[in-house]
Amino acid sequence: MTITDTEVTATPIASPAPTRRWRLWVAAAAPLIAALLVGSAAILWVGESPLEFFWLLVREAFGGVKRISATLVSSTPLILTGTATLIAFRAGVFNIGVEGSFVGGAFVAAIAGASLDLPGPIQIVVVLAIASIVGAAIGWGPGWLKARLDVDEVVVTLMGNFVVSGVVGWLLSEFFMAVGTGNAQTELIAPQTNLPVLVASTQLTIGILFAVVVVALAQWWLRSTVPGYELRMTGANPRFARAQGIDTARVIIWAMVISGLIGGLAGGVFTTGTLHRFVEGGGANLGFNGIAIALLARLNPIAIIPSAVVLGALSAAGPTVQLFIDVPLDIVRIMEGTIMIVAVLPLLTRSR
Amino acid sequence: MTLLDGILATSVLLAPAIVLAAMGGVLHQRSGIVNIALEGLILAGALVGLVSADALGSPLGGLAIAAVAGVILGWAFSAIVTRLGGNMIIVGLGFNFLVLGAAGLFLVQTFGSRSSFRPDDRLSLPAFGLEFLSDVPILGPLLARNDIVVWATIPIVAAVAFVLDRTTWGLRLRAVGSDPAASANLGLDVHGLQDAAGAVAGALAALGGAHLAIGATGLFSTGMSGGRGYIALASIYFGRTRPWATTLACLIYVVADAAQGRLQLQLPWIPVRLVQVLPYVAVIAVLIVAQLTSKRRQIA
Amino acid sequence: MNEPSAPADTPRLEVRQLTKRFGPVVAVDHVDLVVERGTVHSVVGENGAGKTTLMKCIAGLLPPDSGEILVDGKTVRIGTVHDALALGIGMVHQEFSIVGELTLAENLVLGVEPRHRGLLDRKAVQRATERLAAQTGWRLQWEAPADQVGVADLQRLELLRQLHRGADLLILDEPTAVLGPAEVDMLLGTVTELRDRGVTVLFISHKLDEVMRISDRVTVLRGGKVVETTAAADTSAAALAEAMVGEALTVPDVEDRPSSSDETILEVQDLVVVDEIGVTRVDHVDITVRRGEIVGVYGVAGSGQAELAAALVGLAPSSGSVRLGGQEINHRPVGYRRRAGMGFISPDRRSEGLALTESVEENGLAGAHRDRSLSGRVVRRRPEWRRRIADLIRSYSIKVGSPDDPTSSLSGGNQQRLVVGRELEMHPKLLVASDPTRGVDIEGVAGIHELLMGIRRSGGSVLLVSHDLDEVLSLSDRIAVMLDGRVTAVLDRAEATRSLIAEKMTTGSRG
Repeated sequence: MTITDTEVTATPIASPAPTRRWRLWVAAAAPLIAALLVGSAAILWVGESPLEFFWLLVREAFGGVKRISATLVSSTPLILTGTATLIAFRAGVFNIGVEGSFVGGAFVAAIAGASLDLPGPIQIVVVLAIASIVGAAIGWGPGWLKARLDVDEVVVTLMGNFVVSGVVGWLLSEFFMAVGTGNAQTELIAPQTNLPVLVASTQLTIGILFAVVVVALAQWWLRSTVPGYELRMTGANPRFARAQGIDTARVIIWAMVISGLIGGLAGGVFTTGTLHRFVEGGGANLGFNGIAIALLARLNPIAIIPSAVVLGALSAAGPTVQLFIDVPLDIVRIMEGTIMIVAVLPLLTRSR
Repeated sequence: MTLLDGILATSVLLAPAIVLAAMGGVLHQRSGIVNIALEGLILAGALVGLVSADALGSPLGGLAIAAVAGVILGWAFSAIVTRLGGNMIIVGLGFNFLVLGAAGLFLVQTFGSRSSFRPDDRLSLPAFGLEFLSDVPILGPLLARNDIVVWATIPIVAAVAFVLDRTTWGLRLRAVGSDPAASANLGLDVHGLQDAAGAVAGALAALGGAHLAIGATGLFSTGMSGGRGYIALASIYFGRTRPWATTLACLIYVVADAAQGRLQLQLPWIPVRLVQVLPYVAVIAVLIVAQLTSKRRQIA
Repeated sequence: MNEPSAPADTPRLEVRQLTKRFGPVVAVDHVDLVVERGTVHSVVGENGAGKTTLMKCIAGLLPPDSGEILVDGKTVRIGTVHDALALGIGMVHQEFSIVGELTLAENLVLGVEPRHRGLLDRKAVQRATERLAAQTGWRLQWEAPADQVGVADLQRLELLRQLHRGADLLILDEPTAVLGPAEVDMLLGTVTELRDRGVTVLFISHKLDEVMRISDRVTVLRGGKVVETTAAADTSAAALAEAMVGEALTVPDVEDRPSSSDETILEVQDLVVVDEIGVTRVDHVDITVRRGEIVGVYGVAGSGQAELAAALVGLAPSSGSVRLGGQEINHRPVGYRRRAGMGFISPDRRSEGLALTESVEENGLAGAHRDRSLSGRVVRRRPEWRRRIADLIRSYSIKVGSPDDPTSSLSGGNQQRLVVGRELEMHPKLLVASDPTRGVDIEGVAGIHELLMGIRRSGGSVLLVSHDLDEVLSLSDRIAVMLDGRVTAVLDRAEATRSLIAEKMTTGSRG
């Protein structure tokens, strides 16, 4: 088999909006329903009650200001990585490398945050900007390779993730290891780099606002701008786009750059808002989870927020729920895997 | 030369997991499916293998049951892609998540421990070899005493190469992977062939995982696959889906990986993390070169 | 062939009143055909005349709606390719089913591999290739990968495949379409030899010279019906051509045509297009189009018209000069050419002309989406888009629920109207229209024709590439006839008769 087999990307990722409205709702709900069913089965097997688990989850995730804040803290990076993935997918680019952009951005933000000493808001802006740029650069590579050399982006981005985490790990251990701690992590970032807290005595920072703004921007970009239109047309039918004069190569490269940029920003927000340093393995899989979120949202920016909140709720409330009910957190993973698989089955997504 | 011997000994123990998974992946990929689920299959094989070996008191029984589990899981993954039309990459990634979660769940439920399971009785696989070489450098660690899975690995590579090249089934697999439309026109059962290859991939990867748990480490932990499935995939690309070249790529990785642990103490200036990145960089390089040099011809 | 042989005078194959419909379209209309054993029987006709559909019914790929097929005098049902092969019928298609990465030998036996103790019996394969070589005189590089072998050899492989599977009635669908002159001779020679050895051949072609060279009998199809069946000895290429194109169904427009200006809007010189497998599709073509003129390009399928259109728009690479309004645009990207005033109606509406999953609005304004009137540098003026698409829908009578509906919800005819409207609204200097009325009903066709004439009236130009001779005749000021990638003639409207065109379509193959 030829290595550069673009048959991998020939299977549609997910097609937007079936004709009939009820199909749309079924298609959107199916992955979530499937996940709930599978999760419930697993919970039953463990000997607990699914209803009790999900009720506790809902209460833990949304019961009260503090808890909602915790949920939103978890959701923030997911909103961003989900949006990053969505942008690429809408352009027809199968980018599974947001994980790499995220890690790269998170790391660079930690380094910059620890090394620079600028006045408060400027520090934050600069650090986030650097994270975004690094993420964009990481996204650019595979984009250029696909646009100019027709190299399959799936394998390149998948491998790229490992390359980024390896390089970051090396840089960390060689140059930036924090003194005196046992973990593989960097120094704490300078205090002014920490994102301002939004709700007192919680961890919820203005990061959530960034995330929401990015989603709104993405929605606006796709719907109301010329480049957004060209991106969508390229993703819907590249032959058609080319025949109508759209420079699909440029569109693809830009889509990957933007995707990487948002992924890097996600990492930066994660560092400045949550961990305040870079910890190896700290933001594990937040980039990959973006794929599930984008799929659950059916590649629709507005739906990213509820999707991310659902998954964020699972990971934020999960550990606490475990105190009350003996259900292992692995259920979350199981549900995520189910969502991913069901979300791409064309039984329901095929538009007529 | 004890350092080298140590490296070789470790390599021999750790090689089968990757090589077997890679061979399974080669078959599946030749039939047209990129098997990203190798990672999950290895993990599943490790868990099923170790638990059944412990339950039955038979390490060989553990291997067998792991292989059966692999057949089922590998086939299921492939069928979701071929018959239900799910995108192979996403389904593969989702599959890996599922297995990871299910394994963790099982551990907690059955043994109350979140991270690992170590059977009380250390079971070992039957092992044998050229005992008289025990003290010989290099050859000793390689040949003196290995368990059956290690011995079986190279013959399995040969078998895969043979099947692809010399059997009808292998010919059909290659046809289906190269041009499914033409193959369907000629009456081949495209999905059936692909899913059969998936079943074999599952069996081999699970066997590799079972060996990792039973033969190499004696324990199971949810992190034990450790990216080996992705390394196997990278090797497949690097070896251009040719069995022997792929195996060579796997072995290079395994030796380098075994070396890095030991060398780190002796030669701390080697940038270990960077070296670990090389297989992935190599794959990207190969893909680029392939695009630059191949004159793609399509049969009208 | 294990059956007892039928009496010598029973036709090898007989088709009676075979009919096949696709929806409202009758592709094969009560066709009768009698093919004698050991003869070469050619079936000729225009694109869309029903030849391939008829053959597919005989070969087991399509079920006929009504009618009978008799093989060796017995009525049979041919439901699958398998059934056909059991009766000794094998078809070599225009599109090969050859797996590029396998060797020729492997491709030969794929699906019917000889086995020896579970393994591929390579010796048996070798014996088979030798047997086939003896039968046909062809020696191929059996161990070479198929994607490194020339097209002629691939075709031989397809033919040998059928022989290998025991076929002694071969259906060859446009076999010389992909061959150069020397290879054509070889193929025709082999067909004759096979015939002499008792193989029966159904030869589908539009290359009338070749048909005359090897056929014993010829059947002409037009519009799904049999026009005539004669012995080759009793006819000629020219006569066949006339039968193929037939009488005009509609009277050509006898309108008062203002003459076109002398100003040249499109000048094409020495255009060459070579496709991915190295075959030259457009062979040093010169064409000019004046302002206010419609130039038709006509030829049977595969003469290079589609590639010509694609090259002009910038979707296929080409060498040579293309000047639009005096400006050289070859080697410029598609967007540049469109902005320079070139419009394009793709022959492939579903996969290139439209993005079916997207809304009517977004399809209808594609290409114009960067116009200052519709968008700023970055932001789209959505209300203006709304207005424009509403106008477009109204002006071109497109039946649609709402502009937000996906384009897939439109009927074929309305989809085509959308495409035409979209291109026309961009007021191109030159519209390259490739099969602009494909899939459109009669009313719609008239409407689109009127629109094209409207372009002409307002001083625009059209390059009309079409497989519909009536359309070309009724609209064009001049007609360029293409054959094998070359323009064999450019005829003025006044002198363009069907017979003349038929003649230009057949005389002088390449070289």
